[in-house]
Amino acid sequence: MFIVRTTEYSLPNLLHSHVDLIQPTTSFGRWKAMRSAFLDWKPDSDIDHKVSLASGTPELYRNPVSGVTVDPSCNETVTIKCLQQLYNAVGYVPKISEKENRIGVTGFLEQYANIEDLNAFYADQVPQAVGSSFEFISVNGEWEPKLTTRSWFLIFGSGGQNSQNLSESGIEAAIDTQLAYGLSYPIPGVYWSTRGTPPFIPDAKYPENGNEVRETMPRAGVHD
Amino acid sequence: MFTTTLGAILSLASFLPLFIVSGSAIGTSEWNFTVKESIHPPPGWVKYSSASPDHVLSFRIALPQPQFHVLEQHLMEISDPDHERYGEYLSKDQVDDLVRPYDESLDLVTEWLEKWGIYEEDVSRSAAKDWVTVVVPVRLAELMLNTVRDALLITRAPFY
Repeated sequence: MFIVRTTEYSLPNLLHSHVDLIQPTTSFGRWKAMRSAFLDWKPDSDIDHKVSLASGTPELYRNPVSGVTVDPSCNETVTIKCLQQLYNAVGYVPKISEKENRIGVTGFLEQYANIEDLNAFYADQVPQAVGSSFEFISVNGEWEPKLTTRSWFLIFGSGGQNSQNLSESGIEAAIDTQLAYGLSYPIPGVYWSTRGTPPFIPDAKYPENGNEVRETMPRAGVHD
Repeated sequence: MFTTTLGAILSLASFLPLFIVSGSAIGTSEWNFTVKESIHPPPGWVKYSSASPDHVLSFRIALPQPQFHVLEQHLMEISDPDHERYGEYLSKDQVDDLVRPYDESLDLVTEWLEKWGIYEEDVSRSAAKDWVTVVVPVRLAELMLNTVRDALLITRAPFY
């Protein structure tokens, strides 16, 4: 894998205070999906009863100013209910109709958001959302013709795919969609996804793909 | 500092107008290069070869956002459940106003790009004009950023 970078770049003197940075020049970071620390806690036989926010527990944390109360189990386990308590959003009712309102999550690098997985999460944490789904939008997707040895046929081209194979459910996609849609239910969810490989235009010297990964999404936004 | 050869400059002629310093009200010394950023390559990355002059890169130029501290103050207040402004979110236009760069920054960066034959129709800008995106080949980027001495590297990632 190759990328084009430099260890040093210069600008005219008078531009130094008028430009914060120019990239990609010296940034060697490789974008990749990060896993949430959410996944790292060890199985604990106490977790189950900590997750269920039994009402009437005498140990509720109460903020004296806002009056917000947070279940003590939230110190160890973050659930949708914990987040709603922490943000004083328990029982929040969206002010805008479901026809106009959306919450969007972006997906990259073949992170497939799985509807069955989402509903398993809802069954555990947001029972009223069970049976709901989200709208999938493929970013820069288009049908394009391909010629095989036998015939022409159409394949779905450069846009993001929407695998609903449970075995391909992405960890990051699951965390993002479950928390975002679960927290904001009943606001309808949208999942935008780019295809896993970055756009790449090969030239004579660089036939291999070493290109920038996240260009598709901001460009799609620009053209909206 | 600026030590490219005439041949290299002339090779731009088919692609872009020549770089012409004269005619600017600003003194030439202010257009002299000084290093903006210098790093050591991260472990595992090695220089492979010089980059192909034809390789095209999409650069994003970040202009300073002088009112960013005001935006930050807004964010701290409207996201604090104990604050009286909690939930009073800003509109996109309000946010754009708060990240807008100085006119002087916009003018100077635009003038700099025009010196290299990059005009308004060649760039894309964010709504607040705090980001400018230009798509240029390596042969031009090396001149604009004076990376000729330490030419743009091809590097190899450690784990592939």
